[in-house]
Amino acid sequence: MEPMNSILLVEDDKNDIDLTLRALKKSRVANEVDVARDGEEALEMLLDTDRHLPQLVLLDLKLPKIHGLDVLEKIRKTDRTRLLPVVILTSSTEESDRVKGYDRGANSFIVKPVDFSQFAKSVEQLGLYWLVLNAGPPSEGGNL
Amino acid sequence: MVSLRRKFGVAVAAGVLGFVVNLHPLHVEVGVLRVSIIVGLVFPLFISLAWGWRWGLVSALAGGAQTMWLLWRGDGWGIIYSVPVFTLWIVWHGWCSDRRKAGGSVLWSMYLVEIPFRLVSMALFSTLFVWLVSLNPPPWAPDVTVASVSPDFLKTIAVKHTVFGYLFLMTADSLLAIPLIRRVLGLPGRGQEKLRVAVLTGMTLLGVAFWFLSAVISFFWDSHSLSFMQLLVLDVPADQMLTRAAVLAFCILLGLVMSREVGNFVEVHTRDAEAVKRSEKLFRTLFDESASENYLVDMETGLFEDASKAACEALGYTREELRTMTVADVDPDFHKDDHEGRYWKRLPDEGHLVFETRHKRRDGTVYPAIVHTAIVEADDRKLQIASAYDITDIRESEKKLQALNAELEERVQERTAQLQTVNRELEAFAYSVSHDLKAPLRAVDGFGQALEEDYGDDLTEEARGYLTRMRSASRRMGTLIESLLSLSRLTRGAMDITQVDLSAMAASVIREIEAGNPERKARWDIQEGVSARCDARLVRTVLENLLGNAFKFTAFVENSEIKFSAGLENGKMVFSVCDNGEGFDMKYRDKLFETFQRLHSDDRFQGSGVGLATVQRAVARHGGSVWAQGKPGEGACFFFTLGGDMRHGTNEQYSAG
Repeated sequence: MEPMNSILLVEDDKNDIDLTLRALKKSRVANEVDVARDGEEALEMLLDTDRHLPQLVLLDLKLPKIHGLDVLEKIRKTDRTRLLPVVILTSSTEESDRVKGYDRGANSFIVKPVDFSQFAKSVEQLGLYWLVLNAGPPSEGGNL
Repeated sequence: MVSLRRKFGVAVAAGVLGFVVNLHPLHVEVGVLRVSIIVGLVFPLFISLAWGWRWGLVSALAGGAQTMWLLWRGDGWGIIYSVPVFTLWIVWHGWCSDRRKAGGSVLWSMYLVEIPFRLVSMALFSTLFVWLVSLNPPPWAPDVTVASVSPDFLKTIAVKHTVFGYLFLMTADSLLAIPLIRRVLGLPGRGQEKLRVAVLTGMTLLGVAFWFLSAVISFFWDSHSLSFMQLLVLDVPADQMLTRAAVLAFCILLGLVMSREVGNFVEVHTRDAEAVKRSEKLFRTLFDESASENYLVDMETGLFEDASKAACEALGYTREELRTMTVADVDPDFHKDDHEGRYWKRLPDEGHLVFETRHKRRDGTVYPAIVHTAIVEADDRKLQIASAYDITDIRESEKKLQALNAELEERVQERTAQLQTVNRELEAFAYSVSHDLKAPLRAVDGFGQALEEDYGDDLTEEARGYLTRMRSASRRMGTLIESLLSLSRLTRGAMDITQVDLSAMAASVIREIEAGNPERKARWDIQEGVSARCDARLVRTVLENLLGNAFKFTAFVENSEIKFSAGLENGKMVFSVCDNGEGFDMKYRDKLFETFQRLHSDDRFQGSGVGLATVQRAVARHGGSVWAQGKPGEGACFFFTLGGDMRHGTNEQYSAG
């Protein structure tokens, strides 16, 4: 399978960035990964019309400057990015975060596990589903 | 009361007296006819009227109405009717008198019931008696040959019986009005005794005076040779004797009737007057001495007619001053349009009103009052009677209560706000724990894995062993954090109480446990039909922990058996999870439910040490409790309730089939 996709990883923790990058690299679901270190940077990159849109956004929730949920909301309200698949990637196991995430139009919700090998598998499977099959996720929420 | 013996004695004595008196009947010559008046009948009649027909009958049979058997022997067969009819007469009046005393109508009056008796008796005289006489002579008196009754005789009988019947009734009736006699007979007094005696005595004296005067007149004016004493009593001429006796009898009779009527009249009127006086006094005391301020107001002029002591004290005016004042002078709100519905306009329609107003004292100070008022109509005047109560104390208590309530409310809000702040802080803390505390652990594990995968070949066996332990430790800490978080979650959030099928829930938990440990087998025994009203999420945590523990601690048992059941104990539904596993020493039973308390080493049984603490919290949030029983090596039982005592009306909260 030829990976030919780009992913935007929005994450502030350096360790998590490296580990996620490593997992993505190993699973070979993407050939291009951009990293945004906070919500503001993520939105700048996504709303910049000169840049290509990534095929998938991996979004942390607890971000500096702009919270992940607000980033998601902005993505869903902007025409350019309205249909972009967004997967929330967080260490929160709060039910309320999950509900809020789906309410604002997240396509999937992955809890960052402490066991990283498990995480790598999750990312791989999601990536395959979203990217390789190249099919948009089923509509969820009224924003789509 | 008069004893029965005495009554009997008096009745018989009256009868005997009547018998003797009747032996000497008063003969009155009316033209050619001689009429015998059997005065003794009065005695049994009197007893009958006083004590009722039974005693009247006793008296009549004792002789009072029997003398005529001797007197009227000449009637022959006729006597069978002419004598007993008098006994019947006495019984009839006694019986009617009983009806009268029992509260019967005025139609039972002795003078009225005499009429039907007389009619019937005369009808029988002119038929039955006439027929009986026609059978003469009777065997006991062969000399009696009269076999017919003349119409003149019947007429005379009719007149005699009617006149003297009424005379006897009047006599007995009047005698019964004499106080002394009433006392002797044990009859209730009628009041005005002195007056009754005075009237009777006066009339008797009048009769005696006539007797005396008659003697004096014939002594001085008539031509005769008799002395005054002879004319007075010793040798009275027959015609004068009849006149004097008649006048004296008439006077005494009239005296009896008058004393009765006058006594009754005066008694009734004095009773009324006294009653009025008593009620006036009662009203005065009630009006004046009661604790409420009482007023009488003339509805025409608005002036106070009267005011009670309490009213004068409350307002600081004297009664006389108040009589020159109107309601508006003491009620500052009287002319206000919004004054309690302008009560004085509504009062005439409604008759009675209760309203709140203010009263102004002489010194100008004002106090709140509640007023009960009603209209009284007297002598064509309309008066308003009003009772007012000073409600200053009540108002002040109300104010204090309101202030206290407000303060309480404020404090509750303060506390609530504090609690909310603490709750928010706790949530923020939990959130940051879940997010920030786990990140370094993830890094340790993640980079450990990277090291293992990328450089594993360069490491010695020992180094790889350290690495594995490092990662396992970090994973365990991750689990610990997760457990703590779920524990803290249990104390937050609203409860969602629904009817939950606990049997089905237990089965579902067991499926999960078995799926996670496919290599192990255990025998599960779940009681069917157990359900409870509870928060499904919390109770699932309870079952997960208890069933999970049971499964965990039976790991080293040959045939592990785990049982979930429920039953009523002391009116409460108690749920239990029992196993035949490791068990525990009862001296540690309290430590079981403390956070991070573990009774077993991690080598043998892994655990976070928060499971049972979580159970306790979930159960406590339902108002229930949890406890355990166990023995080392023989297994353990965990019991829990979900609040609600079944005996106190929450029967439908739990059920176990």
